[in-house]
Amino acid sequence: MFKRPFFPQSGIEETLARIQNHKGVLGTVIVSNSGTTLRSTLDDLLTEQYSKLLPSLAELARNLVRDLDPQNDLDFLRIRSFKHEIMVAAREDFVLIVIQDPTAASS
Amino acid sequence: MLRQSQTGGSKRLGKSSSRRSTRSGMGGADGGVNLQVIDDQGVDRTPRPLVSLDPAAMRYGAQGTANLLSTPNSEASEFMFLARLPSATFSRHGGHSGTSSGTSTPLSEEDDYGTALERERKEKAKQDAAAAAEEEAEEALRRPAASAAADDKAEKVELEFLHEADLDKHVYISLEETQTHFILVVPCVTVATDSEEAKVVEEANKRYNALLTLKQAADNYTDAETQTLDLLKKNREVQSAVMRTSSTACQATVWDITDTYKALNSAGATEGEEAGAGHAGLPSISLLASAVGRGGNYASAGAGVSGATRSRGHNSNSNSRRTTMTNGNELIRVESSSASVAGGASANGGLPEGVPLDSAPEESRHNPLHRLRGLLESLELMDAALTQNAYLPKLLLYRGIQQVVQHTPITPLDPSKTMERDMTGTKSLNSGAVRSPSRAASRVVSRQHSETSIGESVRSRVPGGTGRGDAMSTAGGLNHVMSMGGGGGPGSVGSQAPSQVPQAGPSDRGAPPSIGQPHQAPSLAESAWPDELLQDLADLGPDGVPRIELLWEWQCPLTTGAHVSCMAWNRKQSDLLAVGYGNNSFDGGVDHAVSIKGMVAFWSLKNPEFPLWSFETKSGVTALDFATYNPNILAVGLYDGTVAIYDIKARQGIPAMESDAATGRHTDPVWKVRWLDRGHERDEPLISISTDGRVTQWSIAKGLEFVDLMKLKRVPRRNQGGEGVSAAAVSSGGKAVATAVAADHDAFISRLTSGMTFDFSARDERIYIAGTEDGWIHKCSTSYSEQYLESYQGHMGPVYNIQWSPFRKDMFISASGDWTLRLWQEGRESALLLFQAASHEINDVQWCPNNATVFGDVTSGGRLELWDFELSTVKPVVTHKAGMRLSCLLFSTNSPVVVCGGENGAISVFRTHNIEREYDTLDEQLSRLDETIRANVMKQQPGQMHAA
Repeated sequence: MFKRPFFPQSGIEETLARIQNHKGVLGTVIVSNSGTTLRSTLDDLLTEQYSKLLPSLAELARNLVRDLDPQNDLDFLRIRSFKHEIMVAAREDFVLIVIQDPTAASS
Repeated sequence: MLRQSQTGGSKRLGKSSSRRSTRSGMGGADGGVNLQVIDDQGVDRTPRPLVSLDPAAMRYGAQGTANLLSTPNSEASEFMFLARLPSATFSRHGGHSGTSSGTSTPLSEEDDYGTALERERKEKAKQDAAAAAEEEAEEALRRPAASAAADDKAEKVELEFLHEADLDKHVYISLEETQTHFILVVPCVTVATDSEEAKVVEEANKRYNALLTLKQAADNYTDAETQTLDLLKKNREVQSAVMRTSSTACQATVWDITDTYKALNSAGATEGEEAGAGHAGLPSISLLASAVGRGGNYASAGAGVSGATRSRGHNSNSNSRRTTMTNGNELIRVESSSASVAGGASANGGLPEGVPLDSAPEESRHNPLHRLRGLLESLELMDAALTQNAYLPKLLLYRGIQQVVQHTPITPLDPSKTMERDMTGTKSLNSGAVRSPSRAASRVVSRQHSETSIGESVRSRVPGGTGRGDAMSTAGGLNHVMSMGGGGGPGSVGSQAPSQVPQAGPSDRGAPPSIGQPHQAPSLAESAWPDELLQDLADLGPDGVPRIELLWEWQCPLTTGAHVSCMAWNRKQSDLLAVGYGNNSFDGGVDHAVSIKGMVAFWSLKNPEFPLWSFETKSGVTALDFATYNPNILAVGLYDGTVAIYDIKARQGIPAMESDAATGRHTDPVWKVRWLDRGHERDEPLISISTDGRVTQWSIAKGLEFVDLMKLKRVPRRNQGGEGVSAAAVSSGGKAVATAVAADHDAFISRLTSGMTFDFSARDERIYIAGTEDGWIHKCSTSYSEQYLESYQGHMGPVYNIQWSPFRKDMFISASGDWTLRLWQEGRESALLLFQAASHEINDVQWCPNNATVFGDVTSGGRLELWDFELSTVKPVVTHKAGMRLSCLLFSTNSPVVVCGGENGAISVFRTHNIEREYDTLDEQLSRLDETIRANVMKQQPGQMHAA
């Protein structure tokens, strides 16, 4: 019954694959804090754009959150645009970006 | 120079710091006129010479000059030579005429200059250590007080090896003013001219003026010029490296400070453990730096403080400036140290060379993703966010939040669509969205009813046992009826519903159920209806007709193929559902079934597509329950009889406690575990029941300790239930009685019967009912472990689940393998009501938490049935066919939702419509329940009387 190795969900790669397989997900980008792209499913041009632009925005958002309340911190950032929803999870070491087409997701 | 000036003349007596030395001995030694000035306090105020000259030094100087001149290239000798000349001259000229108090010691002067020389040499440092004047200097050093010499010597040696680090040392130099000595003080006296004293004063002034004029001509007074010693100064040019300054700055925002303090606090907590680490130097600074450096995540690594702070671009709250005078090497060192002060950012941030931060498995160490802290959590968060985007409408529906539909023309729904039994999510979602305005309107109507007149319209229809009709808003009703007319049958739209529905009432009441055969499906007029029609009525009735709607299924690749065996909501986090998986098909025999592993998964609304967490168990899971007061404690009953306690907060897949053979493990599968809530003050014991016949209470206070509450004994089956089945007879327990009873019937193979389920009474925490495999239900008390309080007979098959009514504390319902559900009341040994809809084993039954007359059950035939015996006791109001064996069912405690699970490992989440009555008061619920039961029991009473 449980033949497959247990706790596959604890693997980072498996979770990444799961994310990528969600409906409407256009791409996943992981950028390290030094600015290097560690993982991307987008093409090079888009990857570069996303990995350049979003970390600074996330940092800005974090500054805002922390300026408002020093004990608070940024957890998650969603940008809902007409075409996409860009979800950003910014941590100390990295920024995780997922671009989803919400219309495809909800239909 | 300062030192010289303040130590003149006192060298001989020792250290240069002793400034206030008497000169009495000195004067004697010099042999000159010994003039002393003593003030009122007897303190010696003798003025000291500006330059102290010593006869011995004079001697020495006379002969030493030649010596010195012989080594002109020595700076020292040059210096001394220059120094000595004016002093010698001066001493010849003397001080005041007639006084020889100026005689002083050249020796001490030379000492002074020698010391100065030494200092000079020190600054010049190494190269002229072997100069020819060395012996002079040595001699000079040797002659004064030995201690001073030794000091200088030591200092010299030390300075030879002056380390660069010493330049950072703090040297304290305090500058003080020398003490002022007054030789003559004539205070100014001012008196009034008209006073008596004025005359005396004027007289004195006159005398003084006369004296001054006289003095010009007096012999005793001569004008003489004198020269004071100009302190020797020499300009000297010294080459040194250019003074270089470097400045470091750091800034802190409010949250930097917060972080730093947090880091310091946590570091303080762990300080003891980390003692002796390599970075013992300045932990606080490095911590501070790392905390400060956090902001500069995206500056290139190694840029140092300035780089890190620049990227921040904030106004600086604090600036620290550090200026250093160094040579080149020094500067580099300082820069590197400042870089390491900023280190936190660069060391941790430099990803490629950074230390592995996570204890990632060895094989995945090479994957850079594994080094990222918190990546997995972020990924899970992202996963949840993505699924929430997709599931948002359904999640809203789960919560009972109506979606705002911008524009919905009220048109009759497509009959084919609404008639569809298949409740796939999208279709029902669409229809739900379309219908929502009318439903919302009807909801308002019904709310007003219930608030104002306790729902007169509702109540009026209750006795009929028909539709609740509380929300028969015209629009909604019309809307629905039209759609129903399309698929249901001919008939005018307006009259069909009113005419048909009340029909059920009289027929329900009028036709007595088949007497004496409770298991048989009653032949009623209602059952003569086409099944389709009834089903349609139930499924997609107008507002007010109960229906359910599939929201989603909690399943993932992990769980496919596993059988859902049990579920439990978390008591604190009502959206967290623990699901036990196991394989209860037992195809390969019992041994095989025991060895098959089970699993527990935790599902939540956060991610309908993947469990929050899951762990594996050594055997199939058959029961589980969350504790009330420690909601992170999960009790799990396994197929092999183990009772295990897990702390789900720790997220370890191994049980915190586990029963083994020595500690009372059940020998057969554990069919139910339940924490017994006895209030905050008392501990919360765990109760388990197993096929081995034991009802066991476990305590986790000190390990896992157990007490058997009851060993369920077999009761002889009788042909007819009645008074004979009394508790006393059953449990008098003696062997003689047992055999005597058994003699009439079949012999016992085992004296114990198999427990399948139990439930504790909410009225009295000591009272519980236990359902057994042979169909008996026993009411027991924790106070008596030997005998039953009451026994209820009726079920012909194993009782799979049993539950007290949440409203009437003395009623309970049971589900059995004999295809029936029975409603029981304490004190009555036969069932009040009996429900049967299909010929399948009923695996689970649950009361609806907020409607007293509603309960749900699941059957092994794959039917999910919701009964409302206020409406009907012969047909469930809602039936859903899952197409596979269903094993368990739960009503959500906080949402109008029912979940069920079965053979395929999926947990279906249904939104119920018009089932729950969360706005009714307790009294309303109770009266409704009583009313319904009275009406129904009256119908069935003849049958029961007959049976008795």
